[in-house]
Amino acid sequence: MTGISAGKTWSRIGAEVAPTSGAASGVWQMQEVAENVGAGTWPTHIKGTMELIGEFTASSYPGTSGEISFTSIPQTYRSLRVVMSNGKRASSSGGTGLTFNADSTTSNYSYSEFYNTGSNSTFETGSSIQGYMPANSVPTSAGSTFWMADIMNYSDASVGTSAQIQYGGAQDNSSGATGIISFGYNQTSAVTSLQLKSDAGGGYYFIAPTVVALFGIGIV
Amino acid sequence: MADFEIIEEGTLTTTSYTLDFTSIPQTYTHLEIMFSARSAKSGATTDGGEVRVNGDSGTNYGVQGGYINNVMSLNMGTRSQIDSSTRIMNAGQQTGVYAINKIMIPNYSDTTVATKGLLFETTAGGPNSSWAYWNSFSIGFWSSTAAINQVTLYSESVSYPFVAGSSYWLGGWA
Repeated sequence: MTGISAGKTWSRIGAEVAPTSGAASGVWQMQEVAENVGAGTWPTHIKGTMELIGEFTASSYPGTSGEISFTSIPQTYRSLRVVMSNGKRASSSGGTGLTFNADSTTSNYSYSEFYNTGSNSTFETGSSIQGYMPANSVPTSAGSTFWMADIMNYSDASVGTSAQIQYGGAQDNSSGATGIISFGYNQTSAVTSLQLKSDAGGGYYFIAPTVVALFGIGIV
Repeated sequence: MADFEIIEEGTLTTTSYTLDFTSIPQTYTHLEIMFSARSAKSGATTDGGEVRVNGDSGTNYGVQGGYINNVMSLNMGTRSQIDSSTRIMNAGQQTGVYAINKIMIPNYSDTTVATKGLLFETTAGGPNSSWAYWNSFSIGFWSSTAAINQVTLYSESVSYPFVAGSSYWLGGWA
């Protein structure tokens, strides 16, 4: 309590009590305010925001492995949002997959997907590491794919991890796909890394101008 | 003001029939809500949740949309809540997996337009066709010129509230 913190060479005007998320009476140094905002012990209606955690662009793709991995994900956010824009890969066909903590055990995952290709609407389910994306949805020539995953409560080790995935891709006005996916991971562990896979690798690796960004939302 | 701010957020540590966002600041252009939901109701099934605005229980709501290969009907002004546009995973579904719901509420603070729209995207499903699933897009309506200052999300029923681990946030976009 003496000085509450930060580098003082004093002066306090009147009584001060330790601040909380509900009240902060007294006179404070700017450094003290910053310390307590960071610690969550300062009254504000702002609980958090959306921050960029990491990003892959053409200069940072991992070669031809077909996998982009975000590791050491901070455990400080309420949820994660992965956004792939201008998605392309070296060859078409196959899906775009998602795994957590590099766990490739198929039975630990589930998905149910509703998607449309051309005039056909399809629904499918499965135990898979794939957040499935139909053929040509990451095109090789003109056109590109948008793909986004919202991953809730990822740092909670007492429950599994659930995500909502949406995507849309088009190629030269001749083919494409749009879809929405329920994606579940039934392991009770915090997600500290995630892998976005361009199918199973092979020749399907990501190419320019694909950008994949990982955002953190809120504060736990 | 930042471009995006969290207004309210949390993860349930006990059951709750509602997730209630109150005293929503009127300083943003639109709102976004994300929440994961599961109940203790038995069965490898899903159920719909309800949404009300500003605590209004009058028949001032409607909903229209589609789920998988079917449609939600539009009954504008005849409903006392926006029903089935959100989804809750029941206890028989895969362990630890929750339904995910997204709601966008544009122009929520406008006091001149007669109807507010709430856009829903919902995903809930299991690993094969023997598990119930529900993926949907829909829009809910609330007939009022009042600014939205409260959004209440209801579980399927008082008997089957949201369980611990259900998580949520409300954000405002500049």
